Amino acid sequence: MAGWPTPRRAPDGQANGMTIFTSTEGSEPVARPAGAALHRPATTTGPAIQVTGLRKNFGHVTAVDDVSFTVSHGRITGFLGPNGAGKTTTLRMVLGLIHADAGTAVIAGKPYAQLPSPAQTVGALLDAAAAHPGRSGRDHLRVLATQAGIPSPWAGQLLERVGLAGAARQRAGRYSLGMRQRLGLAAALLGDPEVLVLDEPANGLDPQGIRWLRDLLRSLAAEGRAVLVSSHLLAEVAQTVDDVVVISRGRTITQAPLGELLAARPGSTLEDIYLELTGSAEGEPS
Amino acid sequence: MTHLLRAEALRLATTRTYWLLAASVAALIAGGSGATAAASSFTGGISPARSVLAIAGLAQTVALLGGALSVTGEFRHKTITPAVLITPRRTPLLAAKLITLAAAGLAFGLAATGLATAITLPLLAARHIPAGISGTQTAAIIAGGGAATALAAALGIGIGAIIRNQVGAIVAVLALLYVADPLLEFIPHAGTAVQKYGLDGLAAAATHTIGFPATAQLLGQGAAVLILAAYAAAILSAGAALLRHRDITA
Repeated sequence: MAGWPTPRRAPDGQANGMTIFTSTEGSEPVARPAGAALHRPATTTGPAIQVTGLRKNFGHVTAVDDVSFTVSHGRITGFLGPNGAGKTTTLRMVLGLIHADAGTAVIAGKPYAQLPSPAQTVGALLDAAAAHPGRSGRDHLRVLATQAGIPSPWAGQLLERVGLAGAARQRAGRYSLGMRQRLGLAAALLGDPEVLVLDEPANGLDPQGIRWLRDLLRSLAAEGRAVLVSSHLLAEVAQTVDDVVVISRGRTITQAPLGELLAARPGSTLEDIYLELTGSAEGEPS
Repeated sequence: MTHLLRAEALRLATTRTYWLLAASVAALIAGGSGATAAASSFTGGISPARSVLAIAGLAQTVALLGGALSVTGEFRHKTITPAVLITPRRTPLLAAKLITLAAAGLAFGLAATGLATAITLPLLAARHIPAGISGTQTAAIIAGGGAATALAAALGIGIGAIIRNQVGAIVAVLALLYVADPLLEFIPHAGTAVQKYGLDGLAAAATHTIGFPATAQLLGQGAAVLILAAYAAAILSAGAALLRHRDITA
């Protein structure tokens, strides 16, 4: 699987989707020191995403109780938690899709709704199936690119980058789950964003696809982008992420660099630590 | 807004649903008006052309459904999420859909009513049946067909934004068309008001065709178009407010 090409921003620093990609096919993702930001845009200082005390009730059910964490540029942050812990609700609040009952979430210092050009700042993949089944993958991206004011040829290039060029004219209803994930990733990357929010992007990907996704996320972070990715695949997360945020029952249990978590418990895997953290949380009175 | 409008036009053009719907309904209208103009005996002193061209009202029914589907489809296929991510301000998003579908409805209404007129008038002439309408009235029927179809699409968008669920919205549209008027007519002394201000009567008046019953007292064409527009505006405002305040969890 080819590596993700390295985008080069225009000298004026505009993230308008016109970035020229140069192929780095065959190159290995480079190990980098924590916090290395090769690509950090001059416009942003501070954390890429800052979530403070988010809370959301759906009727009588508290989906998210008190979630706080930060996501840094140039790093991949794994967002972990059991089913129903409130991960998706939190991500949707960060993206302004769900209105929070309390707390704040800011991206590059602003609430999502106040970002001047959201698609060029944040790329999100929340649901692999978010395409009309009757529309081709190519047309799906064309619609979104048009809406975001991004030139259509770019959409075609992205389809190639995510390995969907051969299926571009096929209707999305015929795509496998893995293909729809790739289409969703292409949509997330349309605006050449500095922040990526991905909800379970590995779902439905085959082993090659998972390797490809890992390399993609690593190269995106290596370019200075912030990547927030939720996942259940702990072994995969352990190989991919720099930082870990664990939530359970709607509350943040821990946020720490993965290396620190592992160093504090010698001999433990991320899975051991995760189960310990979330298991103890379940014992707490709610 | 330009980007939004172009994106909505692409959304409309890149799925087959609307093309198939428009083509089949145009065929139904052509067939229905052709058969009626060719075979009906036309009694009762009502203009034969106007009673035949009431069949083109099917364009408004399908525009109502199409408008509703254009919004509920976004929720059903979860495409509302990427759309709102690109344009977090949801009212302009709905406005772009409204403008696009109303324009499509206008074009479709003009084409469908024009087609029906082009089939009906020569058939009546061939049978030596006076059409019973002037040239100006013919133009009013075609223009009214366009306006009423555009407004029906707008009303459908509002209903879709309020109900979101595809099946629910379709049921609501059908209830509005086929159940609401007869039910309201049960209210004592409301009969003539329902005939005038109900959707059926307004659509008939707006398209300058005939109502149900054919003897129903209708409003003037201009007034009917304005009241239809007011209905659409009210439903759309409610839909836009709900779209802004509701969570998008799809």
